[in-house]
Amino acid sequence: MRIEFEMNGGHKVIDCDPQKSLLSVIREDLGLTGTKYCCGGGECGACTILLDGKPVTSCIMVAAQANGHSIETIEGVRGEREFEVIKNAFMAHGALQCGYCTPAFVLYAYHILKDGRQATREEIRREIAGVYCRCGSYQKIIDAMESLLSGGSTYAEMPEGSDVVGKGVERKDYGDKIEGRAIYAYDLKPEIKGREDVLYLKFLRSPHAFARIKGIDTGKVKGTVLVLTHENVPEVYFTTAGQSYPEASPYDTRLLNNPVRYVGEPVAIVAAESEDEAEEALGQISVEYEVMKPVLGPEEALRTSIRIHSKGNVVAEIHEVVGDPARGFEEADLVIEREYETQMQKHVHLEPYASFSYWDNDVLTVETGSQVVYHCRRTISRILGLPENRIRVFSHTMGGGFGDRQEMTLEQYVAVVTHMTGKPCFASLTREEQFFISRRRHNARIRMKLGAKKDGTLTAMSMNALSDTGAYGSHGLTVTTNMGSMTLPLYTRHCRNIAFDATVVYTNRPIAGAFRGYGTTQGGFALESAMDELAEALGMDPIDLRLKNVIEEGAIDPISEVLSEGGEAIPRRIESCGIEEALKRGRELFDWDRNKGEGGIIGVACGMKGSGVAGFEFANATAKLNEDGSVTVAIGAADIGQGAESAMAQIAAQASGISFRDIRVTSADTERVPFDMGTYASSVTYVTGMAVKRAAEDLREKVLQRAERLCGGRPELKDSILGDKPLREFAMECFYGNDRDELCGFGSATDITSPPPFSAHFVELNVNRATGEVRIERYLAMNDIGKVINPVAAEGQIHGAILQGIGYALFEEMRLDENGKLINPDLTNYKIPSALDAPDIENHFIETNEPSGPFGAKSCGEIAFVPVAPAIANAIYRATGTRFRKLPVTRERIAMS
Amino acid sequence: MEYRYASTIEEACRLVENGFSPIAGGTEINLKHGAGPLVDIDGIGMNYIEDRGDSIAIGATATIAQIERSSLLREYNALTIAAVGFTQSVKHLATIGGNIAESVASADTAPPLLVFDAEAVLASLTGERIVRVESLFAGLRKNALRRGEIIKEFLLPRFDGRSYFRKVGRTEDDLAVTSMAISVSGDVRIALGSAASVPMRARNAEKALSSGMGAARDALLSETSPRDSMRAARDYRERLETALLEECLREVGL
Ligand SMILES: Cc1cc2nc3c(=O)[nH]c(=O)nc-3n(C[C@H](O)[C@H](O)[C@H](O)COP(=O)(O)OP(=O)(O)OC[C@H]3O[C@@H](n4cnc5c(N)ncnc54)[C@H](O)[C@@H]3O)c2cc1C
Ligand code: FES
Ligand code: FES
Repeated sequence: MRIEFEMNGGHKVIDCDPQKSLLSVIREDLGLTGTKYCCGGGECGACTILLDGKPVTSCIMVAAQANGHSIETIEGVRGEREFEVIKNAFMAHGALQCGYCTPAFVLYAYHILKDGRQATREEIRREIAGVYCRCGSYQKIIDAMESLLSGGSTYAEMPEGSDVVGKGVERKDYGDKIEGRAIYAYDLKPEIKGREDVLYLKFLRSPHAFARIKGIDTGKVKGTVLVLTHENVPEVYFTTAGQSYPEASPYDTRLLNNPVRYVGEPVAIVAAESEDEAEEALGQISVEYEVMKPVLGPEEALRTSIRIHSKGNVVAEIHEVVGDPARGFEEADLVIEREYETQMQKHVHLEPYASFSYWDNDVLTVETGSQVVYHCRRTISRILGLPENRIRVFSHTMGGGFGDRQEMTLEQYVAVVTHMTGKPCFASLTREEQFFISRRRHNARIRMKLGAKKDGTLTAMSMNALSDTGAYGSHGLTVTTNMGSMTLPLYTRHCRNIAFDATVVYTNRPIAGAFRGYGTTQGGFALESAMDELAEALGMDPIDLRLKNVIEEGAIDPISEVLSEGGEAIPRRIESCGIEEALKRGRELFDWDRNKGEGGIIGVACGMKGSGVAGFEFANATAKLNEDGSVTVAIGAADIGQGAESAMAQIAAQASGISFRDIRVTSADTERVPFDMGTYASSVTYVTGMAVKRAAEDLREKVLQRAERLCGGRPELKDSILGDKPLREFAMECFYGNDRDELCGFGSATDITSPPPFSAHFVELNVNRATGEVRIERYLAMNDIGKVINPVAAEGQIHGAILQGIGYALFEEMRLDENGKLINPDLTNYKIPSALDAPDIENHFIETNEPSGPFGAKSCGEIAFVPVAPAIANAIYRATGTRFRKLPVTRERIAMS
Repeated sequence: MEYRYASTIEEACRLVENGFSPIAGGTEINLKHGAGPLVDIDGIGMNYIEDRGDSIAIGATATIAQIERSSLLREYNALTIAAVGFTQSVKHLATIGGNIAESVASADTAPPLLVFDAEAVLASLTGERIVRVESLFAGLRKNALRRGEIIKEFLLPRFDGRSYFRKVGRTEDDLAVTSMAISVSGDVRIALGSAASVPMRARNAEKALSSGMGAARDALLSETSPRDSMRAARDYRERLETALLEECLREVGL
């Protein structure tokens, strides 16, 4: 059918199926990739366009609905007069992170501005609630909108020069993201449209939680289609977890397995010349299953004689003891024992997975969105038997990761198809496939036992965790280790009697993996809830109890002496520690004592995490001086939206004396950047940042030495001025003068102790006991992340972590039916926080100086997630008198308690 | 798949008579696989909200966003609140006609229309007929339109009392787990969403109010039959019904 409409000021005529989704027309037929796909169900708003000036979700419109109307997308709006002020406001307020939602929010901002109405903060919140932001930028978006509507200046003072650490410089990725120009892996599909040689992948998913494949009949599959099954994929076992070698996760999976072990596990993969053809072929494959009884809970996994894997259901066990816990409990005046339970949570990064592979001469190239390009390359090399120098993996801008991209999800499949066929291969997941196939947070059952003297001094702690890694053991041991090793040290000022036992089991549930917080969220919920219960039992204020026991600067973390994340234990001395101050200042700012006296519905909880994985991290960086005096910094870690590239540029500027604006960072490409373990464990600022600092110092030293050699004395280098001349002149001289020399700094860093960042969060709620609704009236977050490299970007991370924590606390949960099938695989049924669920957060940084980190920095990405759920649950207890020891604390559970 | 544009009600009715389904905003029908041939009714000009003297008429293709902002509907507080609380991402597409025609229990505009005793004007090739909105809900996703009929508009009788709407979902931007509208002007009217297979008036509860809260609550629980689902259990929905009853009554000053 012929469809005509106005688009971005031009007239468009297209001929297509009238009931084709308008979003597909915009992205694939018209090639406008600034409008994003995320859910396809009208829920998330990433696909927002302006239809006759009004924001609508294009994914649930059919093409024919556009006929005779006018459409504006970000590609049109970015040319409008109003756009500049919107862009400036978004930049000045740091109103974005990964940027996947940003074009949609810009359209809302444009709509609101054009509308010319005044709006209160709460009205703005409701207006923009048509778009989800999983990075949690709502507050900053509303700030930006408020400043836009009030007509005030939207420009922030931008620091110039090289003296930029600690300043809220404008992130280098902002411009492209706000303008809708950033290319994500998901956008490769429109980019490769029209190429006839590309194969598209589709997955046939298992309908059974546990079944042996007795036969797969592909005889009816028509066309030139390749079908992969467990019978014709390489006989190689590996782990999809992107961890340092040797991985602390078992090699328990092949590309395709028999038996299949969870509902949704790929049984066959079809590669065809179009997605439609691939989809059609799926229907032509018949599989004969021998359905087996699934094991659907971790307790059952321990009891049953059914073996999910031939080695049994236990993936790992941890038994660590410090001191003499039994004696410690005897010495206590009071002992409490409680059991807690946490749920399966989904990452829901707004950009679903997509990967593209092809031969670039003799190099098998994989374009993707991975936090761990080097681990990815190593594993593909192992599966295909291809040397690493013939494999290239690189990441595009990523629409959120949160740990899910520390996994190989599609990279291995596209690579094997390209390897087998010689053809380029593209795969992407729909939101539903993303729900079924990708990873989730480990659910856990945790028993806590705490013993204390009457005055609150802890005498013994014990934690016993049962953790469910699902069908395969990805990250099972390490996540579970962190449940204890990264939480219990917080309260070891006096306590030297600690037991930590844990068992990690397989079940026939979706595969667990890395997720922001990485075990500390589960352990933290148990520990911080138990501390609250202990305080109550002792008749003590929960802050006093914590202050009595929190670890101090200079202390040795006793657990680090016996346990590490899958390697040898390395004792760690706490060199920087702001937790005591966080509690004390937070108590004042929150007016905790008065509030409590007046019966306020308030809660508090603390948290700690690490900065990288002690003993395992390894990051490298180069800083190369170009002819014009600009500098290219190359890092192997990836920017998953947190702003790593800009933080690295700040560190490089400060360390070298070269202006921030002269530095560009390139990342996550095995062919172009030095080795790095990747972006996980909140390691980038701390570990990669140290490598960058050293590379920049090395470059500075080389510049200064050369200058000294040429002109005698040692000049100053600051703000890109060397002595009294621009660095540019010196750089040209290096390349084209008589004594030629390319100057490149190199830096390397490892992580010895993984210094912990700390948090203390305070929350005040209003609970409607009849309906179970919880309104967060006030949220105060005190965070010690060491020296803050970029306060605006760091605060964005804090907001995002807290928001995901609120979802974890109150409603997010993957739910399975009695056969193990996920029953809420979409954003209608798996809710994530919208702007309406997001409180304004008061964030304060308690700046400490971590001597082992770059300019004193520690890590920031995960810490603020840890205290959220327990702080909220502790406050809900004050409102209802019911201790919710199981997450999430839904409205239904509160009302029915 | 076939797709036509109707520019008059007649044209639309003729196509509907021949097995086409109307598409207004498309936020329901586009999510259904195999919706069949569609007739787009967006261009008919039924997106008005106008004052007819003894009633306010809302055209079937008026969007939720229009309703939210209409000054003519200011007296119909319950309807405006329902429009404000409607999922933001679809407000500019979703129409009131589609919301009612889809006949789902959680339709947010339904309880307000019920308490305002709204009527629907139905058009077909044989002419128009007027029915009470309440009689349009035949069952879950099944409306009582006759073959060849479409909804043309809704008529809201003049109202100058107090009214209120409240919904509770699992989060702030969720569909209703339970919703309630209430109106008082002389008599008290109560209607609920997600309390039975379709939106409903709670007439027994209305009557029992004169005998006190306890009686009203009991009457309400015996006339509703909310379902157990993944989104909420039946007993929670019942808890919400009584909680919302108390809250709504309080809001309208009873
Ligand atoms: C993400 C999302 C969020 C939503 N949130 C809400 C919410 O908060 N509250 C809520 O109540 N609903 C919600 N809905 C449901 C839906 O948006 C509404 O029911 C909407 O009002 C339907 O209107 P429409 O114009 O889009 O209907 P359409 O999809 O165009 O039509 C729906 C049905 O009604 C028929 N129809 C439409 N107009 C007429 C007419 N004039 N005469 C006869 N038949 C007609 C169609 O044939 C079709 O069967 C949501 C849906 C989505 C996808
Ligand atoms: S609303 Fe369209 S992609 Fe989510
Ligand atoms: S910045 Fe909004 S989803 Fe990432």
